[in-house]
Amino acid sequence: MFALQLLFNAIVLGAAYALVALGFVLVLNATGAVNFSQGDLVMVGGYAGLALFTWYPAPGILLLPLVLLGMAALGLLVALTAYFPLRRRPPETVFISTIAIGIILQNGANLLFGPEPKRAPALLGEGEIRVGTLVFGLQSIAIVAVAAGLIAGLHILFSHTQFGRRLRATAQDREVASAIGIPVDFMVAATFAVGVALAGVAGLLLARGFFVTPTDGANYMLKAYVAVTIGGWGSIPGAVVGAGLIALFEVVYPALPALFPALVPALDGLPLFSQNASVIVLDALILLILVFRPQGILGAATKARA
Amino acid sequence: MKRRADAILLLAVVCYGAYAFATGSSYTLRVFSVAGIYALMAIGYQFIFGQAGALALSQGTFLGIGAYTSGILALRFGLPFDAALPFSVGLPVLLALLVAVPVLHLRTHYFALATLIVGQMALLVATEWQDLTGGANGLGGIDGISLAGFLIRPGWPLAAAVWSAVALGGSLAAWLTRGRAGHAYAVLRDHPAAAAAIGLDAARLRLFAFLLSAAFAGFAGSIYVHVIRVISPDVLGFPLMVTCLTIVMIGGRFGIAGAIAGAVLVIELPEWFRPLRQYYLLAYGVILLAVVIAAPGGLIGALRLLLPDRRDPLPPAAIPLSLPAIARASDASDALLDIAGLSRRFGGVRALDGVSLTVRAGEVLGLIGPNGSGKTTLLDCVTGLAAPDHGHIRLAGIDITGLRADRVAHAGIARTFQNVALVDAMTALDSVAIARPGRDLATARGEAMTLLDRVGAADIAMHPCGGLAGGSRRRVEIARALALQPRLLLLDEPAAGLNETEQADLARRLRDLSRDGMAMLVIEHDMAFLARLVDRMACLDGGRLIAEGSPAAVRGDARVIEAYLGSKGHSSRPPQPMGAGIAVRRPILSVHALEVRYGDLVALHGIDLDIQPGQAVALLGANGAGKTTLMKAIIGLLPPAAGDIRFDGASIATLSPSRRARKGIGYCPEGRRVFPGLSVTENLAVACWGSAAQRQHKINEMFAMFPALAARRHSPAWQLSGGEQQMLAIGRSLMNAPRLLLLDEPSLGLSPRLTDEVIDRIPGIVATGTAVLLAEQNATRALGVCDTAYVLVGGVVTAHGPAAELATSDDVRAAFLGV
Repeated sequence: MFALQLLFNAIVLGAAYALVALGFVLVLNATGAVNFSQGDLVMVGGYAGLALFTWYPAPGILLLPLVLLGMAALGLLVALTAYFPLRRRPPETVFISTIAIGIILQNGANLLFGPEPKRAPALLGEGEIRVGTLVFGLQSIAIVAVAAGLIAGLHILFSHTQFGRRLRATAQDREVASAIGIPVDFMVAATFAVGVALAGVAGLLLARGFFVTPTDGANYMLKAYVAVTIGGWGSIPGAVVGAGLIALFEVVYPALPALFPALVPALDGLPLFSQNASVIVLDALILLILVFRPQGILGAATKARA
Repeated sequence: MKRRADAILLLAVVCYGAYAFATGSSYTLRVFSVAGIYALMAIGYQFIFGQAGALALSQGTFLGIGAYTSGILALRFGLPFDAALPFSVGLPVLLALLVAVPVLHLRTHYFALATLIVGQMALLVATEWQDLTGGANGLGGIDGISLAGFLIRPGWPLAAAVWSAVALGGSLAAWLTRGRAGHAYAVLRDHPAAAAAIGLDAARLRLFAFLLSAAFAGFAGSIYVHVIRVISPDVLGFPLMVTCLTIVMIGGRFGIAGAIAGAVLVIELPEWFRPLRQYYLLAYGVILLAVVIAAPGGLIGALRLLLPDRRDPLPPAAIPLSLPAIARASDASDALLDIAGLSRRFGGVRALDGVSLTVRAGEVLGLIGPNGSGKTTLLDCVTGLAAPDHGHIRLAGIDITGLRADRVAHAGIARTFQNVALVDAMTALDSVAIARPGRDLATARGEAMTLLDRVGAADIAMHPCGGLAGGSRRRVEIARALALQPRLLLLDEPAAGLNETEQADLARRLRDLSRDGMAMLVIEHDMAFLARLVDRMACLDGGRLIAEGSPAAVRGDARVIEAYLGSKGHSSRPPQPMGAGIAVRRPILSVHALEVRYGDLVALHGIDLDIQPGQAVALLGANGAGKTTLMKAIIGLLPPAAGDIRFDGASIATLSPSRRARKGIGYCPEGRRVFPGLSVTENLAVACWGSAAQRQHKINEMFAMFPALAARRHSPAWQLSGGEQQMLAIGRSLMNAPRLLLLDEPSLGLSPRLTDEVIDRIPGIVATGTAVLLAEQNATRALGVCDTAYVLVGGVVTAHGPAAELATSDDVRAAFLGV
């Protein structure tokens, strides 16, 4: 039963991470560049939900479309300031320009909302559903539903609309895409809008249970980066799987002593399964993956770009 | 001082320092000391981020580890600052070594991630290991800096000590990157393949830079902890790394003056604007973004542009150097380079298929073959840039198969590149001198003069390579290859971009080298150039050796002619003269006096070309003649330097490619380039700009035209065979019902049967009213389906007229195989 509960918790967390990683990999594929502000944009999404709620106290689910639109507009702004002026420079230039965007967002949030942790509105409400000893929080269910809905929506967009197919074509070969009539600059800007909107929604979803502080960005950024690396650089399904694996590890590893009480005496009070220790172990695993399987654990990356 | 810009920046820092000391304010001096610590960290960061060009995000971590080491040793073991230095510098270096060996060779984003993760781990360990580090609260009560048992007082003595360390570190860094070492890093950054080809060990250079970065950061950290006198996990946080990155971006990635001035600015600015203190972090971000966009070279880059270096006016005296290194005594019939059964596959394509070839001592062998025949792959296998799947390569009897590129260079094989790989900012002299191994700078420069003189480029020795004309660049690159005193020189298209006179001169100079005993393997498309130069010739086609022998014999070989001009094919038809009325109609495409350049290399000289509606026009020429360049210029992927392109009467020369495509130009690129991850249907769909119904109609039309595609409509395009991909690419270019179709080398890499299948579609396309411009190497087949043809040689139209006439004239054969 406890294992099932952990699995559910991992799915909830993984669903939110998957949105962040998807936004990261979409921009990566369209531009060949790492958007290092993706994590900070998650944080902005959380504050956007909070600000909207203060202005008009409606349930999060009603504010979500506004967050989506606002963050898409912010994505266009990021593209205009940190990508388009630099697109003919080496890709690491965009890495640095988006670090700058991250600093601006982080300190802007600090000025507007202060450094204390804040809480975004719940999507539906505070209730929970109990099945035996299993607890399904209403917020958790809503997170999975919203993330699943968005991922399904993305799938429809990319596979069943001309616009989405052209976004993919642009990501795969920008030169040829332009030569068959696709306005590639517009498509790249649109990709930023979609990618950043996904980060923003993830922020709204996470900022209830995990609160939001201006310095949250680095953490989410690293998760997206790692998810995309272990899922295979540039692979869209890989990003979702990578995000799921990270969430699974984060939920299950600290719970190992609870899952296997026989471990506890052997630990002898050592904090091997604390939150921080779990991050250290995860980091070490990722380094091992980078060393031994730089193409990711799902096999060959679809299309390697610098 | 040669670098005036650097001198001015350093002077500004010295002035500010004098002001800080003059105030005598302990606070001002303390801030100035902190700026000095950041300057040391940034000077170190310039090694990995500047010189080696790798985005490491661990510089802050190294500083933090140095600080913790020194602090803990002081508190727990009573070790003073100086006694702890071996550990506080050594530990970050050791960590850098552990990180670098497995991941430094990875691509930028993986290396950046690995360094980021190491930083996070260090931060968490410092927070968790409370017994040692004091956990999140950190440790206090650390002594000031003491040297040889003498404690340095806070205030001006401390500031003076810190800045002495900066001066020391800065001098060391300047000394380490001056002259040859700096040049080596410049080549490594801009042209990694060229760096390996002149024998530079890229992995070692990068590792050295990374370890130096860590050492400087560790040193800065140990000073930091004794100046601030408390330590907490903050020194391991990412914000410190961001500050370091900001300093180096603002100051400049190169030049210690930039790092120092950047550090003083970034640390002092918030102090000057104290009332705006809460905004300064925000301003950091805005300034960093502005600098990245507007001044990529930072302060120092901008100043160097304003105040360029005074150039050394006089080249050094030449120091003699023999070429080749060892006087040739061996029998000329000996095999110097012996290639046996060499094979290399890329995916499903056999780029090389059991090639055996010999270059004898002292001979010049010309290697020819149509586009995609495997010539450059052969060169890459020999020089270690690619590993063969099968076969052996021996140099003077020693097996060099699979040897790393820099080792092949040391073994005695030098090469040039198809696209000249020189560092723009370096002088011609230094570009050559860097390839002289084991010399001091003065000797290497003297010898480089001899080499430049040998290739006829002594007069431009002191010019930066970026400003040189194409011909001079080729010469400098050849001189650089000669600097290795190779036994075998490999030249990849040395005559490309040279005019007649330059070609004749280069051929004569290479001939002289060969007379002195230098063996050469020359890839070239210009037959006239080769005829002057080579002893023997070999021809590759489809990865196989199809002919070898005297130049005359190879050029007269039936298989060679077929490889270049194509076979007749089964359905060759007599060209059909077009109706007389068409000629007076307004041309659908009219190219007038078009010139296209790649930098200073003119690829197309004043091209004039007209296509009538519904006409099929062949564009013939050897590889490198400018066919693809013309195609790309028409669709808009390359900007014209001069001239005009008119489509249906209106100029399109300034429109974007997508606007041109939407006006009714279909483009089927060389090498097919279908969207690999899109299905067959999707590849077609994205190119149609009509309604959903029209789209479906067009897709069905394409499936009727290419039934093979219909069967695979749901497969992703990367799974298709080469022939199917070509059909898909043609189908995609027809989806928007174009009035003009640009078809670039549709037969490339296809079997003769598939070539026929593709080429035979063209009359059907023309019959629907679409005009076609067909660029083809397979001249015979192209002329069979086209009405008129243009022949391109070296970016100039040398002949044009009705296809039937050209098919029987010598112009076409001359264009491919020389007269």
